[in-house]
Amino acid sequence: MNEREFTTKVKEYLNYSSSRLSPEVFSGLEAARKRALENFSPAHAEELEWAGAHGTVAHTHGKSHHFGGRRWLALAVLLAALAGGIYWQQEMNQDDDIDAALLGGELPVNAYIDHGFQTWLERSSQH
Amino acid sequence: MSPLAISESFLLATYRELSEFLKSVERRAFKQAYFAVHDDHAAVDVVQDSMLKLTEKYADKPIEELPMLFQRILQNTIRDYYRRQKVRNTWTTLFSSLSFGKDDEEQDPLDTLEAADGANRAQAPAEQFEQKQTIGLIEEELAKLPSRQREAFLLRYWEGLDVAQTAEAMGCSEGSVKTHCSRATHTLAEALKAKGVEL
Repeated sequence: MNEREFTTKVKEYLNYSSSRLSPEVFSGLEAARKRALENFSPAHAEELEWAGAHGTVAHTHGKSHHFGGRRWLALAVLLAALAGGIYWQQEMNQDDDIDAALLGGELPVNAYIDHGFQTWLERSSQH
Repeated sequence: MSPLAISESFLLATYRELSEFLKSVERRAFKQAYFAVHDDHAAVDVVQDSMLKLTEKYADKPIEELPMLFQRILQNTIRDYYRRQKVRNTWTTLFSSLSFGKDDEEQDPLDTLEAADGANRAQAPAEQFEQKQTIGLIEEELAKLPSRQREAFLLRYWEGLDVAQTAEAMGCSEGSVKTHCSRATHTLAEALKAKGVEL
């Protein structure tokens, strides 16, 4: 008997043997499998729901990492929009402060744009 | 079809594929672990750890990559078990070595065999007995092989991996795989021949 025939025979015996495990081992393996599969479900469900909600379920095996990349891109866009909003809000607040100072001051608003008033002010301060 | 329905059907397909894959490999994985650790419970634990690692880290891999990944994880988990065992043994050297030796000596090949099911009823009792005895002896001799030889032999000839895949799963060169396989086959054949077993 050559090596190939020998190993084929051994394989047959091992296959036969592995199909006749004790009930305890069978139930142990079944429980192990179920536990491993429970462990698998939630992360994938979340990932796939996200992909589905964005109409990008052209999924093939091994491509799911694209969903992660797109998720990061969406997060970056969101953060940029948030930063833009905060900047715009600050600019608006600055304008409000100037308006409040103008309205709250003793001088009339026209005084700030009247060149004659500026000249009069400089001349008065020299005396 | 709504996005949720699409994602659900897709999820089910993937879940089912993974479930079927695990179901298809679990018995052989158990046997591989058992040959290495010599204990039913420890072997089931090794298989469970391997399955958990696969589903945690590699569940999104293509289905055709799973057998190789699973084998690599299984072999690493068996090696981890040995390392932990070694650390444990440094603290309980005397008792562990005595009880291990005793178990080995008292191990009867027929203890590992189960009663034949309906498919085998037509077989003659003498033939059934001979088959069980042969399986017992093969498994006993496999368990006696050095771990790397047994690993290479089982991956190559039982799991059906080619030399390159076996080398990848074992983390060694293809040359080493060929050497391990050749030695394992030779040792096994000689041992069985010495016990009067003709395959």
